[in-house]
Amino acid sequence: MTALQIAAAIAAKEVSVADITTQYIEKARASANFVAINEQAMEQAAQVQAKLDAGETLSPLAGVPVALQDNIFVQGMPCACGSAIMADYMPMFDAEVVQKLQAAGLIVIGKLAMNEFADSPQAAAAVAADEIPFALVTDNRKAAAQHGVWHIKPTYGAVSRLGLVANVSSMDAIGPVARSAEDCAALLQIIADAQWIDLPSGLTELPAFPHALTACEIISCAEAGANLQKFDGISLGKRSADAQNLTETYKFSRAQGFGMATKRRALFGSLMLAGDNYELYYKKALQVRAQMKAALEGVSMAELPVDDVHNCLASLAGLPAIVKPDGKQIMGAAFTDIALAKGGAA
Amino acid sequence: MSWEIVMGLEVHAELSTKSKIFCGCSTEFGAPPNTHVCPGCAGEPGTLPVLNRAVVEYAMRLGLTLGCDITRVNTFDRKNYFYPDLSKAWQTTQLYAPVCRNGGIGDVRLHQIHMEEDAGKLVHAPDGSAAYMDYNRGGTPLLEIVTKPDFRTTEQVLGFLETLRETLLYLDICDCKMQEGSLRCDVNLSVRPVGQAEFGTRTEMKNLNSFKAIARAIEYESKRHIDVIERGGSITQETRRWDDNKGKSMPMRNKENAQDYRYFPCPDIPPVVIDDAWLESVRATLPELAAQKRERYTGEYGIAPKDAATITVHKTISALFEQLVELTGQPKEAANLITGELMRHLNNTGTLPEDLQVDAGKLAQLIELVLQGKINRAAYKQTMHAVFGEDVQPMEYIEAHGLLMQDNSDALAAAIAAAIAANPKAIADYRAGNEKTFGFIMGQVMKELKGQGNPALVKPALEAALADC
Amino acid sequence: MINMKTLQDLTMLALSPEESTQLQGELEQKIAGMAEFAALDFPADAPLCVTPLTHTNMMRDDVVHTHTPREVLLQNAPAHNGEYYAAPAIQE
Repeated sequence: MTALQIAAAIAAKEVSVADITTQYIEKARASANFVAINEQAMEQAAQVQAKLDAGETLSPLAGVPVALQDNIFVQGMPCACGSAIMADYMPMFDAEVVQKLQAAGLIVIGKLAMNEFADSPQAAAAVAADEIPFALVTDNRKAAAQHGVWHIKPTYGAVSRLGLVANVSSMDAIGPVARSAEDCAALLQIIADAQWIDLPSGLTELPAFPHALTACEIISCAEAGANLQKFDGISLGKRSADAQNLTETYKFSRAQGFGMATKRRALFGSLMLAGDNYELYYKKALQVRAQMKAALEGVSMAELPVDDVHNCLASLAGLPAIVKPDGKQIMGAAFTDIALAKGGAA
Repeated sequence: MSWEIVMGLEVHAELSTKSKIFCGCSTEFGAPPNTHVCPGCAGEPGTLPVLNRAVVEYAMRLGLTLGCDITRVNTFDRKNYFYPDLSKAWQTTQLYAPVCRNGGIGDVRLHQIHMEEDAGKLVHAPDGSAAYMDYNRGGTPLLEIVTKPDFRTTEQVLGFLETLRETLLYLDICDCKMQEGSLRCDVNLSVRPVGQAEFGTRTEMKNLNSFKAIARAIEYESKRHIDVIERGGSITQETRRWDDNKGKSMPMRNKENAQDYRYFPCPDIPPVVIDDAWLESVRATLPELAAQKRERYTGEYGIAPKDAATITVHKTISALFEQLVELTGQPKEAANLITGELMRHLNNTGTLPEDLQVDAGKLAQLIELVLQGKINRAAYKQTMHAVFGEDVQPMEYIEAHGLLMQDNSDALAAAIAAAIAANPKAIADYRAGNEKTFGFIMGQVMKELKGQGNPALVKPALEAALADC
Repeated sequence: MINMKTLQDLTMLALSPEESTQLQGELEQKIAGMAEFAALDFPADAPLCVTPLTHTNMMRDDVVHTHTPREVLLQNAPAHNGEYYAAPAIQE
């Protein structure tokens, strides 16, 4: 069943929230894609059922189980971003998207494994295998295309980043991954500001951007590297037991806590900002980005392959993109997220 | 060889906003460690900064007052480095578009003023085995005021700092308590042979916690520079820490030297655009500053410049003065009260001007009472100190202590008659044209009145009586 | 030639000699492939896009909100003594 079908069944009292939640909790516990299970899920299911029984209108997705990529904070559940350096980290507040999910009556089943500080192929796999009806993730276009599921990377800024562990601050966007375009749209409407996602859309030609990928890599790694600096083993992050002094504490904690891919990104990011490289590379990347964003103002929709070269366009310009089960994406103008979902479903 | 000392200053002023620059934690000084901290200023993941509008307005106030160009599109940048007092391993500051440029104080030109956040505090374990971090101070808003290298003497430096301090206090944007660290000054110093155009290599000195320390540090460091160069050595450009106990500067390691901060624009903070309307609304709220007040007091009220300087030493004092003038219409009396009994009280009790709490209405009442002749000057002073010390009700105190002047014209007439009768020689002298004996006769009348006489009343009555004799 | 020691110092990472050699090779290859990008010439005042958002003046009032209780904050600290976060000694 899709998420909307589950919601309809609950509303029609064909199935209880508790039953659905139990089903998905069992699947999550048995799945290697989940890194944490919400032990309060049954209690929350009972609360939602009580509200529905009392005649409260919560949302079109009330009672439906959902999972979150493990870079989104749920207070009281550990959050590790797939990294050893965040082992044992306990968020002190709920992410804003989590607050919205709870107000809408969705049940958080658990947290999904991910590549260290990056995307979550596990989320796409879990949704594809119906281990969970749908999930919230950050840019998962490649994984979604590989697993034949739907995914929207929303317009940048449409969804609050409060309570999301920052990776690339100017590109991070929390979006849905689901088995239908309608499920994606419905979930997006719960977590996003309506005016940010509701403009209409239509197909156009796309200009070429030869330097976009390089600009995207430079900006991504520089921002991600800077955002990773806070994991220093001093005020935050797992501290190395082998360090003999302050500098070693920094260097060993971080070297032991990060995988190779993360180290590579952090080093490349530092390099792009160091000394003359700011003028030579980083500043130019920001100028390329400005040019690109301006050029894309006239574009309302374009169908593109899902790969680095094409993914970077929506990332740099903050545009929405929907990945379809056929492995292609449609990128739209800013604020046309829902129209993309509807067009994609057609 | 004749040497010239060249200096520039970097002054950090902690702003007296209620909350921090990027989060709603309190900036109040002296709280227990890590009790004014949230995930944002603790540098936790998943948080986002939101700029405190008051910080921008305080910066505008200072910039407008010092004649700076106000930057219309402000951006913030990340300054990246690792140090335990910096929880997220970057400091948000303004490198590329600082809020104010140019401007100055007197002959000293400013380079720029920018907004940034303060780091937390490090406390070292007494046995040196560990360092402890308190992030209460982390995220406190700072204005960094950078001058051009226009200073040549210690006096200039201290004079500039005095005026800057006074300005910050009058603008009500910083409490300027160097001992609490809300005003910090780093000195950049170099020397060059007199007449040489190029600057020498400079060193930067930190940890200057008082005006005295600044003076000592300048003396030491300039001598050190000259000494090194005269012996054929060269100055290393570096940051040095001033140790006031030892009376010397020492190179700082790691944190400040050879650092590449990899600045880049912070993607989390949108630009702050200052338009004409906002600028003018801030300009309209600028208070009259100390220098303008001094001019006004000496010009309009005829107050002596020395007294005007005393009154404007702190804005609480000048505010009190202006309140008293408004209530009594007596600027000279108000000025005397302040430069006399009030200053005496502050000095005797060791009270700082900013901590002064006194009811202007009560003082105004006292001024009126003494001018009306209801109390004499001695009673005036005594009651005033009771108001300072115990906040008494003036009339209650005066009556309780029997300080009310006899306003009894019968008693006065009787006393005058008695004094005239008892001193025929003096009266004769006075009549003969010796005006000096008037004072003696007055004294006799006052004696008759047992000190309860009000000279302001006695004098005319006595003159009238003597004219009738 | 990329100075891997400086880069590790800036990024506070301690790489093994093998890691350092491997990453140095990868980074240098990357830089070599970016020659055309490095040669791009923009006028000094060409606009920068730091974020796709076009907001300005996102500010809050100067109001104190509640802080987070100390024991909650210190829970995630690598080391602490109940009052302070604790770090190894710093050589000044």
